[in-house]
Amino acid sequence: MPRLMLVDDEAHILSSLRRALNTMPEGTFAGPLVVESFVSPVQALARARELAFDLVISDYRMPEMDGVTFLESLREIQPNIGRLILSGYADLKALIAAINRAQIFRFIAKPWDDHDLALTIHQALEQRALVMENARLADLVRVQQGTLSRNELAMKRIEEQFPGITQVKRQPDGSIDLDLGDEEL
Amino acid sequence: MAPMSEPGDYASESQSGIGDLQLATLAVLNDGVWISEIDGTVVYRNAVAAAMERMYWSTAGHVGTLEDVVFNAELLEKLRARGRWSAEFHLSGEGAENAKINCVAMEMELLTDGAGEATGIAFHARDVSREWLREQTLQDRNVELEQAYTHLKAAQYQLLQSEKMASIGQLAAGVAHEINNPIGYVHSNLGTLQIYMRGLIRLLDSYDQLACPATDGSCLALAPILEIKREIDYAFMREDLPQLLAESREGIERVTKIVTDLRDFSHGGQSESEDWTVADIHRGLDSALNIVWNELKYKVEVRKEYGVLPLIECLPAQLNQVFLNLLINAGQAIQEHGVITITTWCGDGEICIAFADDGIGIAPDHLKRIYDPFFTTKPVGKGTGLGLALSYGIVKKHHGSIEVSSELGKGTRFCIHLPNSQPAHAQ
Repeated sequence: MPRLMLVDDEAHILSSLRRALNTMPEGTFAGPLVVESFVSPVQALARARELAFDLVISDYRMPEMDGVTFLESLREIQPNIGRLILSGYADLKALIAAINRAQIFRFIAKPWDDHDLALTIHQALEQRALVMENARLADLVRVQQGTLSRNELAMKRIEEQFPGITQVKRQPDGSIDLDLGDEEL
Repeated sequence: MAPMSEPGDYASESQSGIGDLQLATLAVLNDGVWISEIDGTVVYRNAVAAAMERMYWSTAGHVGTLEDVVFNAELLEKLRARGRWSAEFHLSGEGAENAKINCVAMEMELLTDGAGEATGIAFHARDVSREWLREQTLQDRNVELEQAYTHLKAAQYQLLQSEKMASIGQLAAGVAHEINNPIGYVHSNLGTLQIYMRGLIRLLDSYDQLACPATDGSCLALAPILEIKREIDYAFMREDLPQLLAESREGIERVTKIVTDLRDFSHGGQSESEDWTVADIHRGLDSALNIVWNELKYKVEVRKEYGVLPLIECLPAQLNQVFLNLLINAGQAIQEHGVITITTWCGDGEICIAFADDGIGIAPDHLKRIYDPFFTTKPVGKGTGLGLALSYGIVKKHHGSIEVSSELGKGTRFCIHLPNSQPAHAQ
């Protein structure tokens, strides 16, 4: 079940995207999509610290931060997340920043065509799956060669699913800090 | 003319009838004074006059010595007939620079004795170089001012036009972005609605089939359903719904197209990604023709009268857009059957491309507004009113010009002038 994150300050865009994706014929994506949508990129980042997503579709122009800055921050939390920008605003500067800084997979212009969008999502998910599979196989080889312990492998798996879970933060007095990421809200 | 006599020297007092005091006064005058016999024989000249005599005199293109130009038989005859005469003469030659005299006003008058008999002629040449120079400067200034005014008027018009374009462009870019969000979800929602509707209709059809055997009213439970169906005219609704949605989608697509045009307009085309290159205009014309050929082929004969053109520095894709717009307009101006003539020729440091059609023409009061954004006379949905505004902007960007001449019922001719090369750094 691919997990998809939608971020746009315009709620109507989010609901129309949900509808469009829901009505796509079965088998368009690898399994039914699990979609979470956010009108605030800050909230989206907070959620990304709790749970791994396969793909994010973000607006470019948002009041809290622009799409490029948002995707850059998101990439620090989840380096392998697939990134798309969906925007009605497409000047050259924004495009260059989106490609160079946020390293997006595609830039989709508003208004979009639902089927093109579905195809793009499909391709982005496929690419992400390939990258993940590649990493998994490489890890498997590392385990077989003994350069990676089974323990480390398990840690990596869990970290992929729940970002930050393996990195326990401690207070200066040595106690475990449980308020992970909350201060960012 | 009589043999030269020295300044201040006069033949005899009795001849001229001038007293010593008067002579002394004449001698110190800053103006040239001659006194002559009635036949033009000079009997007196003062120092200034003597200096003037060494120069060349000219009037109305006639150049010569004082005798040739002033003391000639024709002029003296005229003077004797009229009694007085005045004219302006230009002086040049030796001494003219030193004395800075280059224009004199000469007054000539017959001298008479007590009985009214003409006894001689007085010539009085006043230096009017200053006045003349001033007048000349004034005239030059006036011409300059007139030219400047004409330029200014043209520039103001251009400025107004380009300012109008710029502000519309900025507005358009902002608006385009704002509009794209709602268009985005309305467009997408309409698509989803179409899918929902197909599902609902399928569902209702299958209900209908279930209820069909009971349409005779035998089943009481179905009666309210049949009533509602009648009330809302379900049969028509079911037929009309798909068309309604299709039309709505088409409408949104049209808005999308306008917004895209607007955005192109504000960018003046995709200028950011395009570089100035040296290109063959004929190739651009041919490619534009290829694109519109489908719309033109049944009613229009296209005549290509290409001259020999140099390659010019331009943004080829944008110019093609201009050609395309003009060809589409020309094609739309032709209603039944007509001819579009594309002429190219090479001017002085520029090339010219003319598009002429024999279509319906443009009304004179429309002609002033054709480059205004959103001005269109085309039926709804046929034009956005941005084609010519866009073309105007592109030609301006090339430092070229676009002219139009049109006559109702006769046709329209657009002529584009483009410089062969662009000024450095102007891009």
